[in-house]
Amino acid sequence: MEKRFTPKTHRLCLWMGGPFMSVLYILGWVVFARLVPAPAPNWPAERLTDWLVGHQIQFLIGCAIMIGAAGLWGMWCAALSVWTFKTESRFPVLFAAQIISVAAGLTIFILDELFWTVAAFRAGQRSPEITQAIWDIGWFGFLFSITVYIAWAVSLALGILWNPPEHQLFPRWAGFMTIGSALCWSAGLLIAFFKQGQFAYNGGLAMWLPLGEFFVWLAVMTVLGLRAISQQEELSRREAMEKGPHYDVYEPGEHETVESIDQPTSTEHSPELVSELAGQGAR
Amino acid sequence: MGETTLAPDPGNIALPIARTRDTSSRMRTRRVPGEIGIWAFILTDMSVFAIYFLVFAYSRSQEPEVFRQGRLLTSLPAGVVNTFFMLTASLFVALAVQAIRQRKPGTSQLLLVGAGLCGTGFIINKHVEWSAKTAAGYTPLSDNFFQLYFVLTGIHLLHVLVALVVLVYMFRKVRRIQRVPTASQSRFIENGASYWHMVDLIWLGLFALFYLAS
Repeated sequence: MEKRFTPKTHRLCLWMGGPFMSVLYILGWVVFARLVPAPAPNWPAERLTDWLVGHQIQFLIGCAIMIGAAGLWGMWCAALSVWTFKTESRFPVLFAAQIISVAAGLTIFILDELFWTVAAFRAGQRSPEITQAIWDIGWFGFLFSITVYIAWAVSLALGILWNPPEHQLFPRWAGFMTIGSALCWSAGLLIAFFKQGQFAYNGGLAMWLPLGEFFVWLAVMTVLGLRAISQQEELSRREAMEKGPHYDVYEPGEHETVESIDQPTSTEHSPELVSELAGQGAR
Repeated sequence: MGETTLAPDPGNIALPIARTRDTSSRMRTRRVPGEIGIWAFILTDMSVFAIYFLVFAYSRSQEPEVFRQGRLLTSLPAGVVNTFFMLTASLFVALAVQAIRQRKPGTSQLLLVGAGLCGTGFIINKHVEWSAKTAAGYTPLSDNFFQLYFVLTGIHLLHVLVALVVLVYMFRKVRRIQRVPTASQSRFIENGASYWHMVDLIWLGLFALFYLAS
């Protein structure tokens, strides 16, 4: 098993899935799709269709950019979730919860842009009500499915707050801030009840505030993620001095190999102990 | 508030804004109640509510007549009663923390029960108030005033429910104190108390906006 730490891949995931994804997504959303302000759910179907037809090509380009950005987002989640795994190691329940939630959330995230693209694809050539229905599904995926993102964020926060502190690389306040952020996003659930006002899917409190808060939270967690990588670099270098080069930092391109890297460590149980425990369980 | 020298006793975590006196350097440090993390949570949540309040003000400026009519339809007595419950609950929680500092966990438990009763009273009163509104035909779908009224006070109500759960855990922590609280017991109790005060503060903002502002 490889024990060396490759900070370059971690930094790449964090930068690509965080800041780069954000810039790309906002570019597609604001400049091309022109979703500022976003169409209200109480618009008649014909008005929505006219709005889409009015800038159809730009809107489709915007959706292509947004779905490209969404595809990167999983890298960022992985770059954070791995630190939960570090604190759990042998019993990674919160890590597994994060991976499952992120996988579901990312799928829905991509489907949002997919539905908006399909809505615009034949806008003006089919019944406006069909366009409106597909359009609405995109928005419900975008905001109403917030529960999986909340499950992911809470798992991340609990990993910081409840897992053993000796291997933590994130400050405890980041866990508390994440829970506060998740509370803010939960307003997305209210879009099912309103077709106008602040809690409709184009409203300030159901959409703009959670969306804005999400990007602020993402920026803060990216900074903390980069600090965690730097801390791990330092820890790996120290560990290498104590235990040998197979615990060191690895820079891709050096092509160095470390012999005998598959040594058993003190955290791994001996075969005798495993069989003894299995025997007790059987009794 | 006088100066206090922190002893190594972990129970001293519960001291109010305790100042350490370093006799060699005369350096003094201040501590925050609970831990820094709970204040990150409070800052996040309060910022979100601050934006809620700003959006309320903006919406009111867009539809002044709708909001004026809506405000006249809210029940000021119900709002006052709920303010009383919130402030009293906060006072009980503060006194409960003080009782722990005075090595009186039994008194602290009684005060926490008092806070819990106030929180329950708040929920019952909210139920009565909302029921009267819906019976009169005012729902979150009536207009933008009632949308904000029901949703924002509803989000606050969820905070109160969470606060009651926190209170149960605080009560359990206090019950386990053997005269002097451990560092983790103190931290949890102060975190919970800070959260209660935040819920109280948010209510005061909501009360001013929905029941008092013309």
